[in-house]
Amino acid sequence: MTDKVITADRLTKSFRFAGQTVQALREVSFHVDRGSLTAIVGPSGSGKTTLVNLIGGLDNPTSGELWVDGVPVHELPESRLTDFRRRKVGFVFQFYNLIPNLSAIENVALPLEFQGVPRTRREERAAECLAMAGLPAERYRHPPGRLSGGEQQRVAVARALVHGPAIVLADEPTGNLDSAMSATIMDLLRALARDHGTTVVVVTHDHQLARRADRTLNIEDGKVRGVHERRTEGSTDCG
Amino acid sequence: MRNLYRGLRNVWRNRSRTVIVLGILSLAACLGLVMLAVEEGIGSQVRRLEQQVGTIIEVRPAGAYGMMAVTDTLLPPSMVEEIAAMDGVAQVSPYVVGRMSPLTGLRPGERGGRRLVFGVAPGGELTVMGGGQVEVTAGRNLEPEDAGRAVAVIGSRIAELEELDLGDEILIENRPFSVVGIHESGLRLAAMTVFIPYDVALDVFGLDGLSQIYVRADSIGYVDPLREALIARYGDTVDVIAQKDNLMARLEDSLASLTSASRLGLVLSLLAAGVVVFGTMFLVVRERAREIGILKAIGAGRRDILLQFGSEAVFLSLLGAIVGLGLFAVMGPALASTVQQVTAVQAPTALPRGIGEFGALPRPGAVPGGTQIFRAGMAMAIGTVEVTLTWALAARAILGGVALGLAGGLFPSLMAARLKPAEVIRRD
Repeated sequence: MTDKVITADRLTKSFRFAGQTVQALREVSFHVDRGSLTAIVGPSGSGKTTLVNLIGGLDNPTSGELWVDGVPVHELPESRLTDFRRRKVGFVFQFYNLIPNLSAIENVALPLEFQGVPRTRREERAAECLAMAGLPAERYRHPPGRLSGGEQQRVAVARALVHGPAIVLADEPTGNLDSAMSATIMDLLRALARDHGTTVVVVTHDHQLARRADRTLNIEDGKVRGVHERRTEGSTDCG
Repeated sequence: MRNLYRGLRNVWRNRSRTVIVLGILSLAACLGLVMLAVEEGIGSQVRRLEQQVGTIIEVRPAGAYGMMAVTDTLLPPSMVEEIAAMDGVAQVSPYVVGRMSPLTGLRPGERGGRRLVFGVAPGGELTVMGGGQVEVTAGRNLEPEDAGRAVAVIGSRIAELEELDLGDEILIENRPFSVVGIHESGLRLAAMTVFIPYDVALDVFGLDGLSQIYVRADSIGYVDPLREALIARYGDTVDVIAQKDNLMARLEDSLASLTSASRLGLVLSLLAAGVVVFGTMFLVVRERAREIGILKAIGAGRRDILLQFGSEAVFLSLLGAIVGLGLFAVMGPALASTVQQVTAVQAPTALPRGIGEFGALPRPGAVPGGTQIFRAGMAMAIGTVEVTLTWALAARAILGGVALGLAGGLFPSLMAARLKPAEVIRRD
């Protein structure tokens, strides 16, 4: 029996934008297995990022239920959401979003700092994650501005892993990289899921990259239009 | 601690902006410190004068406005004994103010100008200008046994100008006097005065009464009852003036413009610095909105964001205060002097009943040069307010810097702490 680390039940999110109510997600239901690599694909504005934001506790759903690693995220107030993000979630963003005046290793250590981990332990763990992400050791003390795009994304992946989260959410992690580097980062995320049992959810426009995932969720107009299972090569509708 | 450390490091993220902001903040801090120092300096000078004259009551012949030298009425010498017997009297000092006497030294006519000669009770404190004390710094004071003797204690400035020393002989009204002491005072005009025993002064100037009597009360609490008792006893024949009311009130009135200018300057400096800190931090928070969203996404709580941006504001403001202290150390005295000059321009004309009234200074026109002396009265009484960088001032600047950073950075930091991560990440 598979362990479902993410379960969404009729998840809805709407928000006001330019004076109008936008329905970003409409009663979305799906689940994600622990230790899997799941790709969320869909056209721009389909609700992919909104869904990832809800899973990551960056936003609250308008209605429906969302459980992540046993936590009812839909019920959490802001103060508890901070703790949820701090312990359960790692984020990788399209534009790396590293803090420019901190070195690579300091950037990676930030989530541990917010957990109150002592400095020595933080740095040890950050170095381990940077090594795992494939950043050369001589680059650890470099600020992001002196790293290439690929290297910066490796740092971002290491930062997402450093505190051992239940899930890693990557929103267009290869959107700013060339195809070779995109494949490398995708392989890195895949290895993460496979070798470390971390659940990875990747938002991407790139169907080639999505094929590397165990499972693909197709989202259009705020609804899940289809789920593609790579292992079984099957396809089901989850609405 | 790491939040504070990041705040400190963030101060230098945009170096050119930080340098400009620090320049403005340090100038504001320097000006604020100058204003504070000037106000404190005036306060301490006023307190110094107040201490000297606070318990003194001046008894003059009725209508002897300003000083005795221009009135025919004198106080009978017997009043000294009578007043000394009254309750609450610590000391009675008869005072004879001589004319601006040509004081001839070894080379009469060359440097010998007209100096003010006071006859005082030998053995008592030497006071001038209505109670301002002087200190004998060379030789000795007049002693009780000097009564009837032609001895003098001269001001240090006279000694310097006339090249006089202890044991030299001077001529007052063509009578020889031996210099037994040289006195000094923080009040510059006092350094141009001569003290002789009052009985000798009466004789030398051909007077049959005292110019004034200074009564020192046992304590400040005795001043009002004693003044009432003196008025009750001598009625309209005398004017009784308590220096604490007369001098200090008018002195403080005269200094009001300087004090209010320095206070206004201080408030404006603080306000300007607060606006600069607020504006800078507001801009910083807007610029880094996405970064705040990212920090929150990776686990930063509101407290972390509040501490980071709050500490950045405090460090910025604190650095401004420290650089401002450096500027103050270099430019403070010159700026303070300018502030005093600018704000004191109107002061002499605002003093027709000021310093000249309470002391031994002649009223305008009474003697050659009197107007100038009179108009310089306030400046002489207060002297130049010395502005120096003290630990207390530095501590206040540091505390002020921290408070200003907290005040100016509070709203922008709260704004940063309340940003919703999904919104700022989506917006950008």
